[in-house]
Amino acid sequence: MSAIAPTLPTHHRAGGVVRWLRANLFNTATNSLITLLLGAVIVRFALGWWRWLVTNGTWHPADIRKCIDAGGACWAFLQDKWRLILFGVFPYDEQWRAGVALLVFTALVVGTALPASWATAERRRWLAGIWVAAIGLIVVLLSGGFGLPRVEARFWSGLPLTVMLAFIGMITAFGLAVLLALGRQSTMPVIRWISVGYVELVRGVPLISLLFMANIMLPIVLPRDLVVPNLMRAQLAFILFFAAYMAEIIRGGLQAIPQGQYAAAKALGLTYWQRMRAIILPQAFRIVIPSLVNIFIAGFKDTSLVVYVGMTDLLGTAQAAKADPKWYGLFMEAYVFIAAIYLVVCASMSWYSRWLERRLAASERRS
Amino acid sequence: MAIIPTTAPVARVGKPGARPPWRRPWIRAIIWQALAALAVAALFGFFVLNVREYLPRAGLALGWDFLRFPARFDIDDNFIGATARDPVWIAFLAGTTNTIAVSIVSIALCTLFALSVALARLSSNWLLSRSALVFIETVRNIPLLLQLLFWYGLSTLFPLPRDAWQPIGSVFVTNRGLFHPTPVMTRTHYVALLVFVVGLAALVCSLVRARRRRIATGVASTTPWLILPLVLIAPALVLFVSGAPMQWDAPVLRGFNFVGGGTISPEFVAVAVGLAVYQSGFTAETIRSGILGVKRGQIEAARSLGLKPSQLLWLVVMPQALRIVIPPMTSQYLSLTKSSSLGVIVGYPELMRVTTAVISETGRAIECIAIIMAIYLSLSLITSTLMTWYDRRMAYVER
Repeated sequence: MSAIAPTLPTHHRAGGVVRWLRANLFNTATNSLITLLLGAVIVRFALGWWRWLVTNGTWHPADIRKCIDAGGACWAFLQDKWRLILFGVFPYDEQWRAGVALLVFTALVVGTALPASWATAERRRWLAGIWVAAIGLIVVLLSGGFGLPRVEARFWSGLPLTVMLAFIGMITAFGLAVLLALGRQSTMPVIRWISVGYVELVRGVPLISLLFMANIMLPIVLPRDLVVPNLMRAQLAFILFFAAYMAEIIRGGLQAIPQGQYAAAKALGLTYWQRMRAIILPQAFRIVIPSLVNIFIAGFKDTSLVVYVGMTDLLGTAQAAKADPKWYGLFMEAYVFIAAIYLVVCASMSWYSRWLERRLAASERRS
Repeated sequence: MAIIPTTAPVARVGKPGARPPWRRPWIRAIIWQALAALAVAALFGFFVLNVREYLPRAGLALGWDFLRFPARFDIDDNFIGATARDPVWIAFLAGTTNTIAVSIVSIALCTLFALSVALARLSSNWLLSRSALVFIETVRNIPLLLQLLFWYGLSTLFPLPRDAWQPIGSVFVTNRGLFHPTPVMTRTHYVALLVFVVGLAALVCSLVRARRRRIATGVASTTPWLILPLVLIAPALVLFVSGAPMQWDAPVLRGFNFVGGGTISPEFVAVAVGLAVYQSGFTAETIRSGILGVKRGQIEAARSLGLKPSQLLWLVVMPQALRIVIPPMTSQYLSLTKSSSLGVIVGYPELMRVTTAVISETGRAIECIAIIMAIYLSLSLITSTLMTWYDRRMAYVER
């Protein structure tokens, strides 16, 4: 394989189109052949999708027969079901509330992601205030009150449920993970054993078995009159699972901090918690931001596993949509729709993490 | 310059007992640890108390006797031929074999995909490199479960058994799976198989000896090349001399489905391919960073020795990249094995699905969950032990 460069390929940029083509696509005989063959495959692939999506796609009004005869995407199916897929069993007339809640949350996250939002201490205070207010607003929107009809938690489904499971799960797991990581670094053997045992045990089993366990075992090991709702059981399994993985990442950050920092903090006479809060943890978090974002992405994707314990998150609602006998046999449209949502959310998170990493590295170089 | 503003703090440190006992580090450490241990013990004690209250209410008792009861459910697709009349522990065994089988197939596929994608990503061809990037970003950012359901959904698009697609011979591709003929084994065939295995073992032994000799003396041995034809000829000779006929058990359409021969179920294919494709996105990036992690000096030295690009890749870059790549790849393959539990949702009868069936059949949730946790933990442990062993073998030997 002469086409393989054992270093990261640096594709030439300078020069005109022809020179670029010659340098990057047709520089050797093998490469020219690869370009032509792969180009043909890509064109066929793209044409196939185009035909499926556009040329043969069937829009409203249509029924399943018409869609199958056209042989393309059944957009009528999605037009019929998109609100079910996005909001699930949330009362139909109140679904605008779930939509607004999603928009508020998105704005909140995007606003927080901008480094300008947390550049100064004053802005950070503002940001915290806005978060509290926005979360309050979202809770009211989803559950009702202040003149809005009440919606019980068991009706929360679709994308809002996915986002909520992921967000609450990740934040809580992060808190637990910090404790576990510190516990694993502790000089006290009993604390260390408990942390190590927990982390290794959880990392050795699949998430789905924890979800299953939370679903079946919690009612058994808790008192009879303490009924934990389905949603909270799944959320708990989620938190317990991801805390173990995050703890390992944070531990990596703790180990990467030079011993001098620990010693200097101790020499200042700070107590253990002061040392951790003011000196060690901020530096550790900075090191592990990229890995943490990767775990966040994994968490967002893995919320889909809750369909196994009978909850209807974004994937669950897609499954429900395709189960409708009116549209029996269709699945691609619903899957492509939700795959696009997952793809956009996860890809922007990973893009943001890479951007932040570059930015932090640049500020590191300057100082 | 011993400027100590007041002598009081120093005196306090020096004099034992001046500090109250609960402020002393070692006493505090003991108190903290005792509290932590107590909290964990209390939590478990609380659980145990509730379980003891629950069991009589549900009419259950703890114990392993249910493992010997008949399973009373069928496992559609299993390698050990377990049936509904077999005891529960056989069902667990079948589930575990299925988990292992689908993981092994998937790991092999994943390695193949990931290596190709990683090499494509590193290609000097812009189009190839970008296509690999698009593949990686797509498969990594869509939930595994959705991908599995997609692959499984594709299998429903295949024809019904009565208008099966027949690519070659008695191979039928349908929406119920791929049906293929299997050889009918007689005693002679088993003898031939045994001869083949013995020959293979002899070949491996002689290869190891030849390698050792080559390292010690620099002389290449020809013995393996003499054994190689024997490995194939000897079993063939056994078959020829005994005159054993080669018979095939071919699948035949009967009613709504095929009978006879072997089947590869759509669930198996969906789980194996889905897992491999998903994981290969991550593994490709690991392999790529491993290849990039090989020191530039090694590549320059190999080039100046006049190695061809393919020799450079397979003799210099790859062996060194492998060492960098093994630890992260171990954990990726472990996570693949654990993710095979998602097969439960597409209906592949792996461990999770068998466990669900056993629980709904017997109600023994606590024991069953203990069993699957133990099995998954030991699978993780075995894999990581094997990988550590391999890693140690591959480690650098500095001369």
